[in-house]
Amino acid sequence: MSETILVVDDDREIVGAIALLLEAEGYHVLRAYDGMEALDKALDPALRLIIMDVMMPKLDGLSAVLRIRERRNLPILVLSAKSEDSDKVLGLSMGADDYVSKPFHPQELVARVKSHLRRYTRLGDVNAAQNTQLVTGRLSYDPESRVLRADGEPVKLTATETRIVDLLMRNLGRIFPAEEIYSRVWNQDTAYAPENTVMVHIRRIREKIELDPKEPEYLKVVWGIGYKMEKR
Amino acid sequence: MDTKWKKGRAVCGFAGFALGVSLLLTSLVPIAGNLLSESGRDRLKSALQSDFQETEAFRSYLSEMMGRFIAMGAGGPLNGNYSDYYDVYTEDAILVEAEATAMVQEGGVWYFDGYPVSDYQPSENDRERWKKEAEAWNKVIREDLNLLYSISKDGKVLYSNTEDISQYPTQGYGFLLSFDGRECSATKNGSSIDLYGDGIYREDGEHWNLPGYSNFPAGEEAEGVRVSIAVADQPVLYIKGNYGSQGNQWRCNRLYYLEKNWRERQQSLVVYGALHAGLGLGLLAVWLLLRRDKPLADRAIARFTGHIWFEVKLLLVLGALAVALLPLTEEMRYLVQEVSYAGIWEETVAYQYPWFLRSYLNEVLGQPWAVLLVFWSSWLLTNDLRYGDKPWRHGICGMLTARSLQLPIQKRLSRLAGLMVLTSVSLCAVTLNLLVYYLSFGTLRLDVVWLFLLLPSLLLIAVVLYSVRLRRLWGDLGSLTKQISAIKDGSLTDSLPLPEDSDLRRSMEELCNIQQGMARAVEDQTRSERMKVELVTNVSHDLKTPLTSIISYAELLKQENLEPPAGEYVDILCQKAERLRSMVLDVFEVSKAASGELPVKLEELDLAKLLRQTMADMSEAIEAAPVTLRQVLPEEPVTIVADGDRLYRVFQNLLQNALKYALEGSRVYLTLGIKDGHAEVSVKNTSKTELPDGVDFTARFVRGDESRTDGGSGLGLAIADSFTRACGGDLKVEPVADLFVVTVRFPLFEPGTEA
Repeated sequence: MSETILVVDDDREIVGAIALLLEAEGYHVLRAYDGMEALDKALDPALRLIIMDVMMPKLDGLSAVLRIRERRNLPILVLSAKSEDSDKVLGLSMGADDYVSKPFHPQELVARVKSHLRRYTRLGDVNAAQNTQLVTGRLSYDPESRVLRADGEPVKLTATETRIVDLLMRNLGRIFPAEEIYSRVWNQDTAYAPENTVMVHIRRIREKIELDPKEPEYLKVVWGIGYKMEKR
Repeated sequence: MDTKWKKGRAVCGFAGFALGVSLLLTSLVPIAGNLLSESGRDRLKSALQSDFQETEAFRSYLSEMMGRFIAMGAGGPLNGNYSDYYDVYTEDAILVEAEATAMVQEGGVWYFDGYPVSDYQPSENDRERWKKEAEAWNKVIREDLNLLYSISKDGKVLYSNTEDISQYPTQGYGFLLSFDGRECSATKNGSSIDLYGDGIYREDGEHWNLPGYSNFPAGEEAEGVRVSIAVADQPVLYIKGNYGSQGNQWRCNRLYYLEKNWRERQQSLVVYGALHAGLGLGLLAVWLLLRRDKPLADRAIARFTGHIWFEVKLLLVLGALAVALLPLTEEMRYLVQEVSYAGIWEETVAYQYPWFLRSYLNEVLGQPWAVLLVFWSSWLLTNDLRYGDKPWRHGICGMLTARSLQLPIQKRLSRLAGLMVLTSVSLCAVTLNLLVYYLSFGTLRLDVVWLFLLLPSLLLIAVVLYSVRLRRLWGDLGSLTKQISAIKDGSLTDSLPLPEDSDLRRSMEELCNIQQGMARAVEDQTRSERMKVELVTNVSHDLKTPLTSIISYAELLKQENLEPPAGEYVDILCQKAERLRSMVLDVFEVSKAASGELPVKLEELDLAKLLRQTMADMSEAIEAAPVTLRQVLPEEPVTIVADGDRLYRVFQNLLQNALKYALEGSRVYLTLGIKDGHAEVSVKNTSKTELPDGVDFTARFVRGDESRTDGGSGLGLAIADSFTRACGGDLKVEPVADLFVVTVRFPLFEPGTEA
């Protein structure tokens, strides 16, 4: 599956490193070193995804994203050395699909690229099943068959994990205290340390569904209150 | 335009009210006053008569003259009507008389007012004396040609001041009163007047006090007496030139004054009174038309009077009342004298007072200026109370009340001043009381009186000055204290200036200087802090780009599966690059939190649960550590307000530190308790190494062991500290010997208070 990816950064070494990483995964990589060049290369019809740095000469990354969005509908990942929330929000509102702060883990970047490509190519499937399925971001859950998919790929879960996912996916955004999760999943009222038990399972689920389990995007702890599945 | 018109209406309405009320008061109040007493009512009645000869005064005057003339004709005493008095006396008097009669019958002598009361026969001496009296009196009255008379006995004219009385009534003398030995008759301009009515004399002022009633016969001795009196229609003043000896001599002229008084009273009461009342009513009508606009004027006046101390206003009203009540006229002084004599010498006070009060009030009401003074001063006070903004607060007492004062020193000073005022006022009251007491006995010398008046007034003035001064002082003190509190609370720009001449101005200026200095220092500090943050941000940004390359290429190298030892080197490179990455991110966050620019999302959360979650989250690290974690957490929720994500980082860092630096095999304690309305979390661990003294562990890049190079950015505590602060908590590091204790305190959330 040789999909074409455009990597744009004014730092040639970074472009090189990313290109090497992606090529190791079997992708075909196009390179650009400023915004204008990125606009040219973005016209390539084989292009499936763009990785774009924000701070670049000639035309900055966000403006480039805006212009590309006018013509093309494909996933765009924005890279930035600024890690402030406001920058993130700005980037996403400009039309970027994801935001990765520098310095990033190479594996994380690759995982995100894969996730976006999968979703992009399987978008049709997700849409078709939308009526019965519960969807949040790159996760979708079918309550009838009790199957959770991440980027369209079914996730293998144990029975307990499935029950937890079932509870949380059916109540997207709602916060459940550990005691409630425990009593509803295990059907027992009290446990010695529900927090620990629940947390162990949460961590395992995260490893299966999150791109970076250390910084989860979906299955989140609401500190001092409980746990929830983020609604996106 | 509209407001001008409204203003004009208000002024007109008020003017109408003021003038109308004033005119009505001056015209109607004297009439009302006259209605209070009998004499006043009589005066009113006579003023309403169209002819002075119809008045009671005229009747009594003429009756008195006729009585004297008959006495002169009969040869009796001019003032001998003693028996009149008995009629009004009660049984007591009758008893006294009976006793007197009895004594006289037993041969004793009873004297009443110099004459024995009995059927005594006047002596020749008496006759002689009375005759002289009559002649003397005749001399006095005969030149008052307003009253022409002729007195004859048994056909012989004894006294007369006219040639021939029988020609009267004539032009100018229309009223003729004559006595025929039994009864009197009167004609006026030829037509006779009914003197006796039903023939029974009553003491009601309507009847002529003349002999001839069935209950008031003339008596035998008046049988042969004939008296005729002709009265001038328009009495004039009679003055006799007597330049040889005494200059001009005024004659009796009683009738002239009688007529003159009647005419003036009629003018003032009826003519002017009616005129004023009518005009006043007209003006009041103007007020009624504009009564909706008048309050505007009232408010304006209240605004003006609002500037005056309330005590002064009260004193002015009381003073107006006092001045109005002062015995300023002859009549009033006479009344006061009467009643004070009565009060001192007789036990008839109860009988005297109602009469006195009525008469006195009548006199007071008869003085229009006094009525106006009292009315308008009380109106001003009422208006002030009605439209003013709590006018009683603006005054000496208002100033001294501690209501609006917050500071203890202000309250104390104001109470002190109040005590002074109270003391001096009571002292003045006592002094004045003494003064009045001594004055009423008339035994005080004038210089002593002055002393009595001078001392209290000096005292009062001094106390008032003192209070005003003290009030300013405590006001300034309040400003100063407020300013200090404001500076304490962090306000470095606002300053409260004190007036130029204030005693505390210098202190205030110095305080402001301190404030400005602090403001400068804080400004400098924030600027340098901001620069630091900017520097750190820029540096970390500049670090991030090459770091990205390092990490990426290290990863690529790793994927090459190099032979050892190169592979091990790459692993080390990867580890250190990862550590550098986390340090750069931490430095960035700490510097942002320290500069107060870290965004926090505050919400209610259960601190106990947060700690459990944190421990569950870190369970792998905890199990892997060579120490035991002991936790003492309450079962019930401990609710605080904080940013959960940040707080998780706080405890994550604290626990990581504890696990990392605790002595192998020792126990780490995590406790949560409630103390003084605060949730208090403490993490205690026994340090592996000796803890250095006097080190601020929360400072950046500080670690227990200066030489240590393994693990940790040295930012854990700094992050915990700055995040705790950003969430509104408080973190303390208290090493005790080798025991490392970190305490995090948060105020407990109270439902209902603003989060």
